[in-house]
Amino acid sequence: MSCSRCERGGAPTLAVFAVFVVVCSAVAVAHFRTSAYRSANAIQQRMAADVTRAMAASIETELNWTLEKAIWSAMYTIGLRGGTVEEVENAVREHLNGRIRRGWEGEHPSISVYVPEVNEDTLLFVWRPDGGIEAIGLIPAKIEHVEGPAAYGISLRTAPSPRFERIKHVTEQIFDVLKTTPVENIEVLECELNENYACEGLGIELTLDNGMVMVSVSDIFSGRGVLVGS
Amino acid sequence: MSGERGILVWRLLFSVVMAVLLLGVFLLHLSSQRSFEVGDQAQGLANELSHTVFSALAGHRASCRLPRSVGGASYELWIENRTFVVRITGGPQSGNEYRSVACANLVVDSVPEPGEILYAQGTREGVVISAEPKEVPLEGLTPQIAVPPTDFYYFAKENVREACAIVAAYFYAMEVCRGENLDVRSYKWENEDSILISFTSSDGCLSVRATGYENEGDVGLVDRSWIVSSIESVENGNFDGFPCPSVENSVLNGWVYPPGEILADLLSKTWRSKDNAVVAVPGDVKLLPAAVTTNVSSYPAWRFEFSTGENFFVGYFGMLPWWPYENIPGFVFQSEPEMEVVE
Repeated sequence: MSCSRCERGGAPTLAVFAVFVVVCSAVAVAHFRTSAYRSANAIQQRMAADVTRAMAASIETELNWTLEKAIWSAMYTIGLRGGTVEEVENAVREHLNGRIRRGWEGEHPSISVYVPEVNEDTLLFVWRPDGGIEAIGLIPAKIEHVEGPAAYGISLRTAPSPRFERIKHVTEQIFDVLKTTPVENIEVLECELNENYACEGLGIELTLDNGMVMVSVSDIFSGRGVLVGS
Repeated sequence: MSGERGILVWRLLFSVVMAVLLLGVFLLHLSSQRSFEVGDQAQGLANELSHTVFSALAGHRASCRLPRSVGGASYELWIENRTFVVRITGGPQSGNEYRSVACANLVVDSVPEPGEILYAQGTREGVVISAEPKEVPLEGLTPQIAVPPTDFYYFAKENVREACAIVAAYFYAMEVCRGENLDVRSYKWENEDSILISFTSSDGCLSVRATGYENEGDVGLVDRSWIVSSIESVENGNFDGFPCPSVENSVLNGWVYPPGEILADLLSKTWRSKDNAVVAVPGDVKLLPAAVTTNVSSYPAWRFEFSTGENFFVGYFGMLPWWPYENIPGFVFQSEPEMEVVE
């Protein structure tokens, strides 16, 4: 049995109860959503950091490889015309900057890559006591994932084997010897030089071409040939 | 009358509920703003630490003061696998993690607490992370090459056997007096195969006897050699001998190859024999100092021996880098049977 007073008080109670239920539900949903978001966020952050690290490592490896090849290439091409160490250094920087200019856009849609070109301050060349070169670079690069994790800086270090300065000096010495050597004695001279420089890991080739003697000195010990001078 | 009171109660309840709802919405908005701020500051902190590591890479010491909280929330910092992780430990964001990647190997000495300073120091092995400023030796990080060569280089060219014995004694003395600055003071021949070398160190004086023997066996183009076979400390070894230029200076400036460097070079290269088979160099190769004589001259060298499969290899590595502007041929490597570098 119901009375009119009870019916009149029922509506507000129901409304308050309904609002209470809605608020509690909203709080519960928010709590569950936050928990789920937190778990997902942790996984996303971890993945983003891994992807960023992998991308940074990939760029670093590629640039180190490019740097080593650039040194080999510069020593060969500059060496062929008897160039200087400064020319080698400039050629290496230019070669490396060529790769940096091409960029890494589009390699990973979630990652932005900024790698500035190298210069005298960020890529140093240390000429070793044996005439070889060691290149040390610290590039203020920034690799950033859209989720937030970022990697700063790329370090480069490589020391290819060819002893450019030594090869250059030996070649110049051979030029001096050739000035006083009759052409018919070239083969004997070549044998003698090879015998003397064998323990130093240098191979010497003298080639007669239209009255000119071509001198090739290669660093056998480095595993791959480099020629200097003609 | 009671109807009016019911309406009043209803209105009052509705107002309270609406106020609670509005407060809830307001708090949610504040909370989300704060969450964003916490996340933003935590990510910023992680990225700043990564940047600090890069600043330390060049061999400098870099530091970063950690805030007491990020966006008002407490946090903890830890380092795993070249990654800085900032984990929120207080507030509604508790449990969230923010990461950044370091561009170098991280050698973690200690991790600072919030409010402390994180120190990063670049070394050859990577970047040392610590909560306290650390004294890390910087030598060898960026090679400082002395040009022209050191005095010991010229001494070694003229006094090959003495140089071999002195270098061998120097590395022996370095092991005995671990961590001390020492250098050769003088040397004296006892007989034709034995030489006394005295060192000065912060602890006083140390004398070492190096004994060698003549080896007539051909190794490649090496005709003969004098091999240092034993090194021992000598008591009461004060003597007046010939002065010797600094070995320490030569080692530090790259003008003497330490045995570890030679071994690393031997192991890092790919070798092949005359019959084009790859030569697998074992990791336990022993190096002995030796003065080698070739058809050109005599040179200080490191002798190595190892067996791989059925073959026994013996060879020599030059002990000193050969200055590029030398007018006579130098010595880098010879072995028997012949070994060639592939790459």
